[in-house]
Amino acid sequence: MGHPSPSGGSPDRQAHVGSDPQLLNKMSGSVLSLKNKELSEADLQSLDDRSRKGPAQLSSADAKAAGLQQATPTTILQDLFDISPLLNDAAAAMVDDSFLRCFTSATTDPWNWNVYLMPIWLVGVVVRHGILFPLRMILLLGGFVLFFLAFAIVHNCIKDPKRAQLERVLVQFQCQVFVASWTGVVRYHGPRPDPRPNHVWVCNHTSMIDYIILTAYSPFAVIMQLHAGWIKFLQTRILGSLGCLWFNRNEVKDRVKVTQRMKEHVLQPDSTPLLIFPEGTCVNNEYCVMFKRGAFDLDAVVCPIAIKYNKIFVDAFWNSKRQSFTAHLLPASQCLLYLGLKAWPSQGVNGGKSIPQN
Amino acid sequence: MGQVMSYGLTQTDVEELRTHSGGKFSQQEIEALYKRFRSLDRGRKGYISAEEFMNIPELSINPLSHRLERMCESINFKEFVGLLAAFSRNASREDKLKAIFAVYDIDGDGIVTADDLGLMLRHLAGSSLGEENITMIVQRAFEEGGVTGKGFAFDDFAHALQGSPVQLQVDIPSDW
Repeated sequence: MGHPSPSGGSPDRQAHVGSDPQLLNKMSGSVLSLKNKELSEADLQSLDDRSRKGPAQLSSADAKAAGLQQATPTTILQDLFDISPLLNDAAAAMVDDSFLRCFTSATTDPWNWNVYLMPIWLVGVVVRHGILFPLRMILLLGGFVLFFLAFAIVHNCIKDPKRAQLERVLVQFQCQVFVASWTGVVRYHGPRPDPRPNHVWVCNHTSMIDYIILTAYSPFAVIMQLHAGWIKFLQTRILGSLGCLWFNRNEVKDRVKVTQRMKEHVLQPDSTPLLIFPEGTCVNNEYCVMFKRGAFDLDAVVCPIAIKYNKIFVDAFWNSKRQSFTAHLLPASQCLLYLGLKAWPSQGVNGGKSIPQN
Repeated sequence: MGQVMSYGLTQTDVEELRTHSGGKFSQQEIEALYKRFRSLDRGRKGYISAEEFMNIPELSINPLSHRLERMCESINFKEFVGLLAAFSRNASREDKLKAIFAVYDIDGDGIVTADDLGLMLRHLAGSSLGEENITMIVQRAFEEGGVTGKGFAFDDFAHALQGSPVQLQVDIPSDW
């Protein structure tokens, strides 16, 4: 796109081309070769060269072309009309495309459809909803109460810098309570993230609980879309202490401001490590969607982390078309949340080119 | 199969669609196509709008995208199946040629006129082909095809593509 038009040039060249039918044949043949979807500079250069050479120099090539012409009399028309490669690609994209596949939830096969399996499943339901769920709720609520009390005390009574440190520890504790309430079994691989200036961490995004799981391991400041409702309260009051950054997707000017704030945060030596989800949306944990640039434009060292959920008990993918956020937070009614978390050592500045996949 | 019934596609519908596509698609393929159609059709309107069509990333970079968008504007499922029937492995060469002809025949009058051809060339070659070259090529094409009337009728078109392997085949994935 945006190539110089071959019709531009000296009027001599135009006259020459127009008057020589065989040259025109060849020219339109190569121009229309729809196997190449784009004309490259090289193509145009060769067309230029051919039109500049005299008829004598072209004779051998001409003869060949003439020979070809006799064999297939409608070469131009075939080149012109045979759009089947392009059309085929288009139809293939209509029938299946890899982008949409990244967002399909896994289909769950019910396993309780048999007379032997049904009683076992019923027992499971009773245990999960009657015993485990209340226990988890008690644990969670108890944890919340403790957390809020402690946080209120720390926030109002203790001054910076101790305050920020303590708040960080408290948030981490609360996230650990969350993970425990889901009976989370997490396997960690790779080096533990440690706060260093000019480092930024990137992770794949499957669900809102990603952040909670990561913070339970090591506190992170995250950059997130500002939501509404009770989540907004959590975001602004509590996570603000970690240095979390909020943005509004709908505001275009916001982007520049946010990038600025991210840079400042990353350069501070004692700030909480900054975590960014470069995919920008929840993906179904089978594939990675193309990363957005923001995280890699900060001129900071990039440390990738990957989270892979084991779907054996529960599918953590938050399909926002299907579930509201609050509905999504109830894997507490399932047996277990099982996942693996892998961190890689830093990849260097502009390491975006070599981010390993899941 | 019981699952698809609850999506709103009854067995009668499937049979009707099979006939409509000239028997080119099997039962499973139609069900798979229906799932695909529903995933493309946000909001369950019953048709795919031009915008949803262009949302498919691999389609928006195809040079034919604008032409196809026009052809596929607000298609319902029946038209969707009809369109893709030419790409089934059971489709004949004539069906495939008809599909290409339909793409070229922009005004839909059954003849590929000089205007149609010029427009298509512009779609395909983008900005790299100047106006004069386009007219020149269209002229040559008419000469080559020995066409005297307004343009290429389907028979002229089929004759022009004689000997050209027209590979139009797309496999419907069954794991949607």
